[in-house]
Amino acid sequence: MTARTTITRAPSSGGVPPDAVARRPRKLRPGFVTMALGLPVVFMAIVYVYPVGAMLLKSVTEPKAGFGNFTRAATDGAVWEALWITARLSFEVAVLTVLLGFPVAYFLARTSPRRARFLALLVVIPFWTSILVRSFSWIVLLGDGGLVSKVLEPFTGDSKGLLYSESAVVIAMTHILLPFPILIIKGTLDQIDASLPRAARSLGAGPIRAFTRVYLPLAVPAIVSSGMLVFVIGLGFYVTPALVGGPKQSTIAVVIAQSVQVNFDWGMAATLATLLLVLASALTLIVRRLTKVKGLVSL
Amino acid sequence: MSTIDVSAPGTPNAAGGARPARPARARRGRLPATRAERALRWALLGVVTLVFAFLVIPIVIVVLESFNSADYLSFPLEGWSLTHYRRFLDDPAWVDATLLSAKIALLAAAIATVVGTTAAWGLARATGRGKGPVFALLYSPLVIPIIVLAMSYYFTFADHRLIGQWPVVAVAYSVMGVPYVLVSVSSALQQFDPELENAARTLGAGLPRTLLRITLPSLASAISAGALFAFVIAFDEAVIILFVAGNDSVTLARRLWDSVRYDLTPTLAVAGTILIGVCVGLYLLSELIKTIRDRRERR
Repeated sequence: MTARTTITRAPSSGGVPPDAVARRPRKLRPGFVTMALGLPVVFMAIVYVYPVGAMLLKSVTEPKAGFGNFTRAATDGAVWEALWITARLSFEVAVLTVLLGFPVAYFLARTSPRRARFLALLVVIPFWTSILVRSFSWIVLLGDGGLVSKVLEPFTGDSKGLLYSESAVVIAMTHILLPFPILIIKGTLDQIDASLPRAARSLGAGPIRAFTRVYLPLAVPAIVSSGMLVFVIGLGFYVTPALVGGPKQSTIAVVIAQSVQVNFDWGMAATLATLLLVLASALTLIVRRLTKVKGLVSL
Repeated sequence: MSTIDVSAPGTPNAAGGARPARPARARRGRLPATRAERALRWALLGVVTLVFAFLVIPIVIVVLESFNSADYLSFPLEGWSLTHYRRFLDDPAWVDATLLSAKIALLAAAIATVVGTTAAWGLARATGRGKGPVFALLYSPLVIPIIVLAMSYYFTFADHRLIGQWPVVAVAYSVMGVPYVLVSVSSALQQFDPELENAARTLGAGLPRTLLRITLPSLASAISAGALFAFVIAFDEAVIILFVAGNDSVTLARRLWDSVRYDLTPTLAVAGTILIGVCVGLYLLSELIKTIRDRRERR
């Protein structure tokens, strides 16, 4: 990539123009490109890198310098509890979104492009709806006497809702994160050559065998990476567990918010945020190694 | 679990050929569907329908609740009325919050668009090793857990006495919009032939003039799509604002959060409907722009 652009545009963007004729109309360019990259970098350094860096620093300086916060966090049972709940919730949501998302992605990849485009809209619209609004909606749906409890009443025998329980959080988070696996897996399925499973069948494999031995293996990378992506995003969830879950669903993000709002313990909040950032970045790097995640900004 | 048991074996049929909508007819050149296959295909259709219902119902519920005539959230609705819209519009607290959200989102989108577009052009024209880290820096707000950003901005705002100042909130939000603008404009720049810029410059135009008259117009739709996303992100952001709002920057999302916590009324559903309407409306607008651009390109 770099080599190619260097060759084709050497006179225009190289540091030293090869001759004076090429230089005159183009001498502005290197300076312009540097500025076009430099100004955004300076902007991000001030309003993004600085605040995040200051926050990271607080984990070892607030209230006094040293790793006291980290040892405090490591010996705090509530922190371990929150980490375990966060990981468990994210894992459950990741598995559910992939299980529900794969059939939809498969259907979208197989149906006519026109219908797929319309149905994809039904996937993307919830994606662009505020997480807060969707959590609020699940409060209505899952509350006592809500729609879900009414549907389940013949089976459970009472009209008690699921609200403020782990299942409530899992359901709401699954709803919020489901678009990711659908769109990512569909992107991969779109590229699988439809003649491959057909070839398998004409060679004597049954439909199920052709699917599991030929089609599915090609989709596995997308399935795994989208599951991991959902897991990583789920780790940082705050609004949904805070609104739909009860005290037992205190995820790491909820604990972070509480240490600031209830305990005024900046050091602990910064420490847990640092941990979360390190964990999420490491997992994100792994996911990106596995696949390039695109397609949510423009379908 | 049961979902995948039904759907996964159901999926091979379509791989075998015919679309799920027309199970009985085996199409030319493809293997005829067995009875089991047809059953599985209907099962797939059933699962997909249920998942789509799961995705869409919570959104529809919020909109329906906003027209509820009862003073409490109930489903099915007690009756239809616009009472809660009137209540919403008569309450300066809600109206001011909505206007503030719009103001913040506009400023945030403007900043994100300028920064993201400049950086995208710089990255497309630059050669050398700095590109990777610069892209990673500008892209990273998309993957950083939002609670980590919230802590960073809360600490920084508190340290510098910026809590409650809406322009500063908008600047913080613009950081989250930058990756969307960057990705959108970068992908458009990949389609854009840099030789057009060189041609204009050879013909005597200076670089600023070239960028303004040649480059920017052909990127217009990608830039506006990115700007719309940045606006939507800022308009319904609901985590950072919980910490940095103070008394003077209560946005619509923040007020919605407070109300969800303290009083669940259908007025909330009105606020939710406005959030849905703005975000979905803008998303559809960006899709429309994209469709028009695609048509024009095909011509």
